[in-house]
Amino acid sequence: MTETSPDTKSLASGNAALQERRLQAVRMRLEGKKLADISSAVGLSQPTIISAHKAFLAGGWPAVNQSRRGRTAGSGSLSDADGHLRALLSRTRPESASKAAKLWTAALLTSWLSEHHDITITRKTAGRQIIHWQLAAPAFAEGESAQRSKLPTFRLAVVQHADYMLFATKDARRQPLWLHQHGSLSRRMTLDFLDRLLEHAGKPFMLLINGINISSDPVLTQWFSDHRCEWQQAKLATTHSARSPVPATGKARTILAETQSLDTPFVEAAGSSAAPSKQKLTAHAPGPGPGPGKTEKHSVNANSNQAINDDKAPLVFDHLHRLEAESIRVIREAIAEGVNPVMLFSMGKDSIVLLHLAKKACYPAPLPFPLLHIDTQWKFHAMYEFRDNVIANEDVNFLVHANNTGIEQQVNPLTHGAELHTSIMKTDALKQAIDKHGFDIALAGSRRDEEASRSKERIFSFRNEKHQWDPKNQRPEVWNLYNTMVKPGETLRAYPLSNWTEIDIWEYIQRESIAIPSLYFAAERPTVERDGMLIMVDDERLPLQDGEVPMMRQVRFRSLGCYPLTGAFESTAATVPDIINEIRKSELTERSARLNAHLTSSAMEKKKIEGYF
Amino acid sequence: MRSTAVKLVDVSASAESVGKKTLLHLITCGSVDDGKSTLLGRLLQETDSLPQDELERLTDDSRKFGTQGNATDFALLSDGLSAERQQGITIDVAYRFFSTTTRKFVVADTPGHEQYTRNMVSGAASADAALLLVDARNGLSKQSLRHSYLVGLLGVRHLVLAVNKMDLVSYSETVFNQIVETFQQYAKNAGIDVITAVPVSALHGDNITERSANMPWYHGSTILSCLETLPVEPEAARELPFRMAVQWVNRPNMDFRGYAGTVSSGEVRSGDTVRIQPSGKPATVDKIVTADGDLELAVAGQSITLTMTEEIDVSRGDVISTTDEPASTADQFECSIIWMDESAMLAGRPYVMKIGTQQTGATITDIKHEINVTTLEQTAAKQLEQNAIGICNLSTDRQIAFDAFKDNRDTGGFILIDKLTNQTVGIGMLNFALRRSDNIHMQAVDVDKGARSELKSQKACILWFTGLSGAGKSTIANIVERKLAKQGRHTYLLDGDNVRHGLNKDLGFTDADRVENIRRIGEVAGLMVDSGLIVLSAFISPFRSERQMARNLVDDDEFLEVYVETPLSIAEERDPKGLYKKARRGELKNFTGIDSPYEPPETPEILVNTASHTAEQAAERVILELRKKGIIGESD
Repeated sequence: MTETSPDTKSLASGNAALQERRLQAVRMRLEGKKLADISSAVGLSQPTIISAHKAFLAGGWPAVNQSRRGRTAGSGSLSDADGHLRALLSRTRPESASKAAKLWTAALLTSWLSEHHDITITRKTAGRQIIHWQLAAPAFAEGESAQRSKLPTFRLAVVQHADYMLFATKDARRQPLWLHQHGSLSRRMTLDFLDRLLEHAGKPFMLLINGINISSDPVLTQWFSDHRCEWQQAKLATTHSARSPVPATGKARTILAETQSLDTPFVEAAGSSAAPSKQKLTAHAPGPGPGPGKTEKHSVNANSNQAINDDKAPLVFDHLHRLEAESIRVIREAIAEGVNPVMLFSMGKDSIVLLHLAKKACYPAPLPFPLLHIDTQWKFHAMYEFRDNVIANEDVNFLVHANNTGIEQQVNPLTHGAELHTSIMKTDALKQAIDKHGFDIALAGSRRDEEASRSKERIFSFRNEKHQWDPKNQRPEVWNLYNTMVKPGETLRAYPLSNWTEIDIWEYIQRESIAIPSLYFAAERPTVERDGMLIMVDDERLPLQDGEVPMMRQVRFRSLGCYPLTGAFESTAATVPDIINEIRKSELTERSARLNAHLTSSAMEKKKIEGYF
Repeated sequence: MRSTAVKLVDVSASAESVGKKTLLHLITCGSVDDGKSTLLGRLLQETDSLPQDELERLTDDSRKFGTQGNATDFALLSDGLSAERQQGITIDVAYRFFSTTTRKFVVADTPGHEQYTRNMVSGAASADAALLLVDARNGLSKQSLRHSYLVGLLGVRHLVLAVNKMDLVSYSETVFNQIVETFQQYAKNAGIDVITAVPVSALHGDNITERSANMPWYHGSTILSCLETLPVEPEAARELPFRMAVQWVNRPNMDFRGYAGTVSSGEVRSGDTVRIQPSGKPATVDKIVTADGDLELAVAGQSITLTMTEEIDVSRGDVISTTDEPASTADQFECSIIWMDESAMLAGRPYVMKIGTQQTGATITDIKHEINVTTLEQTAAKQLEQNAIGICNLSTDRQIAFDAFKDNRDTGGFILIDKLTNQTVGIGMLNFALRRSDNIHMQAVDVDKGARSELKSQKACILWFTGLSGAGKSTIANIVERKLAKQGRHTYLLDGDNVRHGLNKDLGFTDADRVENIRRIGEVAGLMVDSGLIVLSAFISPFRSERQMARNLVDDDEFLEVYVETPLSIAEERDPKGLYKKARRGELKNFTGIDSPYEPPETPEILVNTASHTAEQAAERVILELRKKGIIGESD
């Protein structure tokens, strides 16, 4: 298949001009110019400059010239186009490829490629491509066969990819089956997969589950007993986790799954009113075996055998555990001391991690405070989708507030500039929402490593009745004692993630398998280069300037804000471990691609004094 | 093949890269020019924690605000506020982060100036270890001693002494040894536990991350390897008896009642018998609940939720402890206090105290002495000024659960909050309980307040008249008492001037003395109420907190605040004793309304205005209110 760009010519000429700019950038870099200066002089983003400079250091001028960006037109092999095809595949439901199909198989993939894309591949190639795209379930640990069932056995792995959740399994002949599900992991999509698998198999089955933890979800476990199916939590062959295991009960027979980082209890389960749901679901489970109480007891004992051999050093309490525990303490303090607390939610990774921690802090209760999104009207589409997913799937009271005056005056970042837009649509809107609902403590996911003035904040930060911060007169904050006393009208901001760094956030997302917007993962996206930033053309709200032609580039975002103010950068990091590696090697700060970040340090302080988060 | 294909989340790789690091909270301190920031900057740089764009911004700022000529001024890294950049001083703590393969560091870089001690203390209190810098040329400055004393006082157990600028003393072993020796002497007296001393040159990188060839005589570890091997706090706390302060009672439905908190020391297992302090009730741990599944064992540092087998009353503030070594309970303490507020600490004034998750009213009953941080001498003090450190006696409004601070930071450390400004004004550490409270019990008597009041067919109470000098307090109180006496009521009038002739003749008019004046009057009035009298007191009593203190001495419905409201101009015009004139001439200091503040009551029980009413009318109004409130019956 060929990837013919509608505008091959302008792309080519664009590339020549781009090469010249790259060379210019490297020359300036060699002269010792600063990244920011070079960026504004040649109009390239800082990561682009760094990579060009690196290419030069590695291979001289020719290396700078040779490096291409984006996809080259006219190269038509399957493997070259696979990024595009994979993306397409992930958006295609099996039934659109073939009416009777419920799940993707190698045969279905072959026929879909030939019928819809005019690509003929052999069965063998299809198999290889499935492995290349990693659509097959990974190998499971030895010993799982000891738990034989009379039912046909499937092995399920649920994996988070760039922009979808992959439900991958293998049938009895070890042939791969899979299904893409968009959005963050939810009970709804799991049920959908189970229904499809049952239809595909045609009879009850036994499912070895990895990557999600269904033991605490009564609806899912009920599904198994309703359909006379069985399940077990299983582990991957390669997993070596030091965490204490979580007992998992399936049917009457209980096996212990070694918890690995993908195990995510469902939100609905955490929020449901039935706290000790495990006992309940065991009681529903069919088949012989000990009673519910006994089963539970048994699993707990087994648990202690595995986890606690040595009295003194059983628990690996690493930096993420300590950060998690410290954050949970702060969240609980806000709940206990606040009259009417609220948690800010921006659909960014920090907000999402904060929400995850809040659910842990309150478990088994649902969140006792609402989430609040300050809608600037200019977020990426993918972020709004993510928000709607949270509203639909999580047991939370979700508030959205926008500054209506700003909307009426059509305030936007393009004509009014970043600063004014942020001030009216973000800062003013936040103050309005706090006043309107009478919130006394606002929890937010800001971190001290983000920016110089943020590194100065207390964990509980006092705001006067005008929402202002007085950085020169902050309350002393010692040990874990937080002074939460305020007079009417005064408020507190609480930052449970104060001591987390960007890397910590990603490592935690990895460990806890937390779903985040696809924008964080590298993918082909239409972008234009403007003011030294790669701006994604998210929709028609972004008027193109003269000479600007959106180019498909393999890009991702390091932080998310309003889309015309948030630059993308070229990256191939499509998984969380890739991202962690990329950040470790990165020579730029997280906010380098935010338009706001180019403001001076004092500008951020000023914004914060006025009430910005 | 292109490398853009999606990879499965690689669990094994993540288990290797994550999961083995520990987290250490570190504070850097020392005098202003001893090289703190340079050392921190170097640590950040050598652990690859300074991204290129930030370094460039720093270079830029150095040219604009720097004090190092054209060289990079690392101090600016911690000066995140514009005021700090412009003035070239660090005002508040800045938190910086770096990590090695085995440990993540949260570094609180603290201000060196004495005036910002409160901010330095904020950074120090949560630290596991302190890195104290001294300049090898100058030795130990007053500020380095001050910082090390504070660090020890706040319970930071490990101190690394970095003797910096060794290059400027020709890497001399003798200089290093002298400084270390002097410091050890001081540290021993100041009660600082563990010290490691390292000779360094932050500027040249000697002994920071790599051993220096310039100092072959030094055989110890580098700063970084030293920091990497210090024990982190939760590990040490695991060895102590179990304590968990209940932070929040989680009650989502009828079937679940969990006590959420963070284990501050020791460990707990399901099935353990525990004691709930201060009530002392025993209970059994049923489950250790977390979102990741129930645990069999939880240890210091973990945030968990406990459920109990028994149905018992446990609420926020209670401390769940082991049964064999439970947290103690008391309401009288000796403690160390670091005073934070601009207005000085006064003995006798009530504050809000927060200790662990408990909150109570508390009063400093006595300042035993102040400590001179440089000489460690004890000096007598009547009040504690900002940044002063004192040993005090403290009395809480109720029994609280606690441990000595040296045994447990979480159950022994507290803050004092001003009731009016809500500011955190003091930081304290409980040393031990004063056993007075155990040995002096209230003597039960058969004839009580109720019986005494009944004999007089009235309800005992205090009528607390407050207002500016010349407002008419004494005049009105006098008329009210006359009217009450006419009705056959038993009364007593405590007048400000009269009391100062006797009981309080040793007191002057400073803020501290005013507080004590009111405390004594409050106690006397309390005794009189106990004897069944209607007590009338007429004092300016300008501070809300002292009136509150007097109110706290009697039952809720026994204290009636009568605000005699008069504009200052009218009171000054009346000036019955000529005091305003004296004050205006500067002959009378600390005169309320002139150069000492009057804080009007926010919700007085009775309000009379003497600008619009005569004293007789005002007194009539007070009598009317007394009837309404059932203090006296309809006129009989």
